[in-house]
Amino acid sequence: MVESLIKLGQLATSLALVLSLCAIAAAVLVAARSAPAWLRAARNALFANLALVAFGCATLIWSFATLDFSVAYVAQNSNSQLPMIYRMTAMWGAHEGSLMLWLFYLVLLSAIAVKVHWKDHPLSMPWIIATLGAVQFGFLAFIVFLSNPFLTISPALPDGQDLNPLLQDPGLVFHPPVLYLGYVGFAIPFAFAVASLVRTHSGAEWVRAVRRWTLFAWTMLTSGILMGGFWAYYELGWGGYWAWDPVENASLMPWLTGTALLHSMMAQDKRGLFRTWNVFLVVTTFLLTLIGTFLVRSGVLTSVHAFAVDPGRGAYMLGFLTVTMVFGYGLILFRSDRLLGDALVESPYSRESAILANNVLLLVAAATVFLGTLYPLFVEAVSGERLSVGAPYFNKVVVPLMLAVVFLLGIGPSVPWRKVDARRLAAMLRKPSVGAVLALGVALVAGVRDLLTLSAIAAVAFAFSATLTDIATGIYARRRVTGESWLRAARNVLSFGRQRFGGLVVHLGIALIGAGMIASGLFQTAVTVSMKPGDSFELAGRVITLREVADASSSNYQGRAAILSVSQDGRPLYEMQPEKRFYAVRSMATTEIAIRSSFSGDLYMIIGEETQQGGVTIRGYWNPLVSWIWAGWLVVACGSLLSLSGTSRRKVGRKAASAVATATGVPAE
Amino acid sequence: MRRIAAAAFIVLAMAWPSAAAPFQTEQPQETLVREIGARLRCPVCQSENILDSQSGTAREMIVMLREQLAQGRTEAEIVEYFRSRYGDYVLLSPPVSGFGGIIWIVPPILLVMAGAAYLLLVRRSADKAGRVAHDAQPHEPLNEQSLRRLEL
Repeated sequence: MVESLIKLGQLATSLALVLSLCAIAAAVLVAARSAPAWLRAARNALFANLALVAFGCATLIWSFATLDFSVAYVAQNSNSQLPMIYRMTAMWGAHEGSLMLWLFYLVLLSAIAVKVHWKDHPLSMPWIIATLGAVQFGFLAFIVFLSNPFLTISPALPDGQDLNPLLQDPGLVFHPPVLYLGYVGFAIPFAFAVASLVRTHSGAEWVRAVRRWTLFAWTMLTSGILMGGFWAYYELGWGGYWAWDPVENASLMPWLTGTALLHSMMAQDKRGLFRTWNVFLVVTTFLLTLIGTFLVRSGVLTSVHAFAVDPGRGAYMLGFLTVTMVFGYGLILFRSDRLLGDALVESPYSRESAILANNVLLLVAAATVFLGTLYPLFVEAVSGERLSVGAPYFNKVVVPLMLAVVFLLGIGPSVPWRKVDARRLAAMLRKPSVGAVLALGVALVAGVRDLLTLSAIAAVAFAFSATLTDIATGIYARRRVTGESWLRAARNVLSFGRQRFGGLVVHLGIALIGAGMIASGLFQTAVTVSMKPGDSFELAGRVITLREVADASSSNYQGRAAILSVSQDGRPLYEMQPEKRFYAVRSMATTEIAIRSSFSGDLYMIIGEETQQGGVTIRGYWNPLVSWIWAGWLVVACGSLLSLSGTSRRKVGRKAASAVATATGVPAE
Repeated sequence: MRRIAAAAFIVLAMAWPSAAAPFQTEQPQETLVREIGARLRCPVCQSENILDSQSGTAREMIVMLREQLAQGRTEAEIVEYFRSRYGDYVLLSPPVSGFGGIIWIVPPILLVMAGAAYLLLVRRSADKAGRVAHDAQPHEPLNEQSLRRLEL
């Protein structure tokens, strides 16, 4: 019975493959000659795919929950000792299942997008459906023919090989699903952009339609990346959250171009600018999400030779990417003559100019990360020589670019569209500059002399105070006109200007994250000591004493824990208990870090080797302001929600106009 | 404005004691160990430096690093020593010579090109815009509706 269920899942997924082809065919047919019945058929095929793929995923999760080791993927990634929650999340613990998750999101978001925009975009709809159907087909064909999670083995294994212990963590429950939601979210803007290109309607309509989709995808991507950092920080135990690892870079690239897109789309919405540039950014961001998924999932990042282990998959991925790239960029080139708008960047002192500068910097940063991540693979493939491009390189090249972006983040929202007098701009920037100068002064007094560090501190302080000034100015202006109380004015400003103020709140969060990254990245303290029970050492003004090394085993692992007591000025504060675990099934060891977070920084303890004499090596870090990064993420999420919840500007305008019309009896247009 | 400055000051003042701490607690030699160690890749790990890695190889390399520092060798000499033993692969920041050169040249070129394109675009369209006459509209006094339009 159970075996037949997984077969049904396989059948459902294969059926979805056929339906995706039907959807493309029907949609293209509709576009060729208007036939509403066929368009409904194409739409229903996408809806059916949601049901089919959801069923496929459900059978897979069911096989994990019931530990059906006749399913190869379940046998490879779970074990009878594995707790229930990790059995369910093991579904996306390896290659086949994570692609299945990708596919599920794709069919889910496709169905929602088609349903939501069905009435508003009747002429683009055939092309939107065709594009989404084509992307679905690409993933479905890969899953059905080359990366099938439904394969069974006979006879069934008595027990599974267990899930990678590193992935047995609450972090895995959230990080990949959120990150993938961010990746897949960009498929919707991609489909709209393709539709607008095919129809040569490159106005602001498609940009307005996908503003929320883009912001949603960006927010999920940001959250996914930060959750990944959080997970690395808690689980991997090197005292940091970002290592410029190729896997991390793979998710950073679409984030950089997606951030650029989010901003330059505003210029097209409000001023009709950057049309070609926007479709280029959408296509690029979508391609980078595909590259990100494939890079991480193909194993090519560990070594080019991993590619050769399964040449079919590698070739397919490259082929799929190439087709998408040729189609996307080809379409832009083909239509480039129709894409030029008549709007202009009127002055270097304008919002659009700031956005353009932001785009330039973000794109150069993205290209650098791309080069630094893929070039070593290229060199190894061509010459066999192995090259490392790691943190010291990226810190030197990408960090300065990002500092310039953070600085612009302070200026951009203050500058009006079209143009502003240079003198007025200078006056506007006076307040935030004071903030930056003050921060610089404090840093100099503290003894910081490194130029990069100083500019980082200045940029973040500038961005932070500029954003606060912007918010305060808005509240002040409203209060002056309406005479409302401060609190009421603040509330009204936040609820009427959700798009603008949501954006400002996001900027505030980014500045907080920046402050946390600077402090923890540049002012970290680390100590490694070999100690016996009763010994103590000092770190960041706290005295840490080893009480004992005790056994800490559980059902699926053996563990050893160091019990440390922490005191400050002779006053005992708390205990910390870093552990080391050994998972017998995979014969793999992990370290469980002990962390004590506070506003000013985290105390971070790792247990190392034990000696025969009952001693142990303890590695301790003081990571200043790390919690600001996670707090900043919350602020970013709140800002995004605020912006997402706002009605679009167009609708507000229309409402206001009709209100005027009814009040005065004059036609609105 | 003064309030903002004060707020910025408070935020930074709170951050300040922790930021100042590292300079006193570490011995000068350990600071150097960390600086050099962060530049060296653990040859048997996936993109980890020898400080962060828990592997035996990385620990042996740290021990070698300490020994060499104790013998009074300079940072450049030590890095060169590891490079001669493990190849360019051990350097997390690739050398400017050879294949690594590309990686250092391309980003600045891109930045200059993109910067030039930006300046050209803004300059040219600003010129064009300058020739288009603007019909200036007098400001109306702000009311509830215009505030909404301004998103305030």
